[in-house]
Amino acid sequence: MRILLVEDDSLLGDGIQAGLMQSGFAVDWVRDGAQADVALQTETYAAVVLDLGLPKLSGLELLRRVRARNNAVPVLILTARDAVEDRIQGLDSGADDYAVKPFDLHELAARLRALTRRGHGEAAAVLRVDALELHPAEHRVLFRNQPVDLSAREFSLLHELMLNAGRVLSREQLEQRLYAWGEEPGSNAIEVHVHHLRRKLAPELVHTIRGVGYMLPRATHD
Amino acid sequence: MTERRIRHSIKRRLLVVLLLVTLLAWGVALVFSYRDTRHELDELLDGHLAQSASLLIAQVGHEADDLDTERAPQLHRYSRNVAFQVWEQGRKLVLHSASAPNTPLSSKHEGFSNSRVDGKPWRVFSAWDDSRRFLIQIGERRKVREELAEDIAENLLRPLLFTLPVLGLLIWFGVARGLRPLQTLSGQVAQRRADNLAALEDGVVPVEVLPLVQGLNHLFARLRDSLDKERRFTADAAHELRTPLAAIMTQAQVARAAASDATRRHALDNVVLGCNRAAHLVDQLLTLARLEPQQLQSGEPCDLRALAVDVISELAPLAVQKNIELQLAEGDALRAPGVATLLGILMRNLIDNAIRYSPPGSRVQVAVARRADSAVFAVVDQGPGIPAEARELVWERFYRVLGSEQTGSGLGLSIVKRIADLHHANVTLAPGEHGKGLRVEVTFPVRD
Repeated sequence: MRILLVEDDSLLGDGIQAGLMQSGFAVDWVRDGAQADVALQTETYAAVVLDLGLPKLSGLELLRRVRARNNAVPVLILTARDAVEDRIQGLDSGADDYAVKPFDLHELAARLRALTRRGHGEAAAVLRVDALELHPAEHRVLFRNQPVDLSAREFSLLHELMLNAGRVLSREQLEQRLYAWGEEPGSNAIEVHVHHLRRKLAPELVHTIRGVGYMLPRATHD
Repeated sequence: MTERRIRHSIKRRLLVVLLLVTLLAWGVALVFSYRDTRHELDELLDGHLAQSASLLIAQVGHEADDLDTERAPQLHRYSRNVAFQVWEQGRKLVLHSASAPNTPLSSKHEGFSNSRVDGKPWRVFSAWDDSRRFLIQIGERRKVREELAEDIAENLLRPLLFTLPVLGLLIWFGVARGLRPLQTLSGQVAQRRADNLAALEDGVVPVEVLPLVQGLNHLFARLRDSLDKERRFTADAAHELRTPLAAIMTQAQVARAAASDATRRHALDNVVLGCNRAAHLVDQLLTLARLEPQQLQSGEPCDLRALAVDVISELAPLAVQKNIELQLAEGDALRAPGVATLLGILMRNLIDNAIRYSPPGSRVQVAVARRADSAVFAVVDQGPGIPAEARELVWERFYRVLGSEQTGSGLGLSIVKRIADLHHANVTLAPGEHGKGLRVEVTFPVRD
């Protein structure tokens, strides 16, 4: 899942980026509100981690602009201010969640997973499609109740497909959601990962819609 | 031994002053009325003497031929103090009272005189009858008059003795009543909770107490202001510390979960960096906090150039490390009144900022120069500068210039400003050479 991190503090930004990547997120890191505004208009993110005290364009102003464009991307704000009125202001400006500095990295990751899950209309923390079971928090996948060993990228790919089960995702969409800036995938990277998934799970599990993209069909008995 | 100080009491002082003034007025009135009475008394008794004499003359005139040396009987005990003599031709005593001596009452033969009889003072009236045959002398012991006067004086004084304590009590209660607004006020102040700095009611306060109430209210207002400022500052400071703390925590968690040594090392390096930053922030906060209450006593003359040399020597390693050319312009020693440690902090903050924000290979120039009747300390860098619209904001605590990679505390310029203010110095920000970079000037007034 691709996350936009908006943080002007270099040490904190570096830490969050590294930490979220350890948790399997692809993280784009921008350091001011203006850059974030541009990024949000050009890329699609599963969620935004937004610091409020930002140069050039304040976090709250950015949030208002994003919501004004009818962009419903889940936004988690990072704030040093924990007074109730600050939190209310943040949530009322369109944020979905907030974390008060200093926060636990794992909690931040968990909150982001919860946000993206809700963004996909999922209530359960564990994703299930047919005989597939995916535990985002533990990075665990079960197929027919057997654990399957997947690489981080394969896991992210399967996660995206399961989140969008029954819908076709283009190669570009998948690339965009799986790779952050600076980690440009090779031209056939997605094909390779899909190939690995089919081999490790079942060949018929991931459907290729020629000229369009890939899809994980919804379970027929649902 | 503790020295015991006797406190002034307005009540006691008023009581004493009022009683003394009353006594004095009373005393003066007493002296005057005593003298007056004394005078009247003398006139009255003298008149009696004269009248008695004329009665006696009339009597003697009628019975002149029957007069022989004889003593009139003593009729009243008081009559021992009055006496009369009738002298024929002024030489032969023909009639006298029992109390009278055989010698003339007075040597004077006409009118009033004071004389001594048996060593005692007498008041005597002497007159001749119409035929100038008989000399009448009639006298009265002065003691009688003294006693009368004493009685009168006593009668005047007695009410004073009774009324004085009553007067004292009345004054005491009156003063206490007059001072009640002060008591009410001190009660209000004493009952206040420490955090209640609301203004005192001044509607019903008497004119004399009003300045006190107004003074207190001003003090409360100032306290409220400075408390608010402190609260804001503490809150700001705590919030500012959260970001480096969050960075440290995050980096530590990254290090713990790191799969590779390189990642772990990078994260741990960042943990150390974060700690340094937090420590720097704390240092700056403490510096600022110490500056706040400090009142600058008349500073001694400090050599600004020598101070600049010290600070530059201290910061040179940082400049070398960043490949920045740090230089001090030539010049003479220049003295300005101030506190050396504070001026050192001011210079360190400005030069450190310049080094921090300058790109490698650039130059930071420091100058200490005399200009008219002021001393100017200037730092010029070739960094990103401060946009005109942000130049007012940088003095605010925790303000950081946008888009800069550097992670300062946001307090440096606040500290500079505060120290400059304490020295009545002026700080200005302007673009550096060729409109690039930043030129900071601190102008100290110098009085010769």
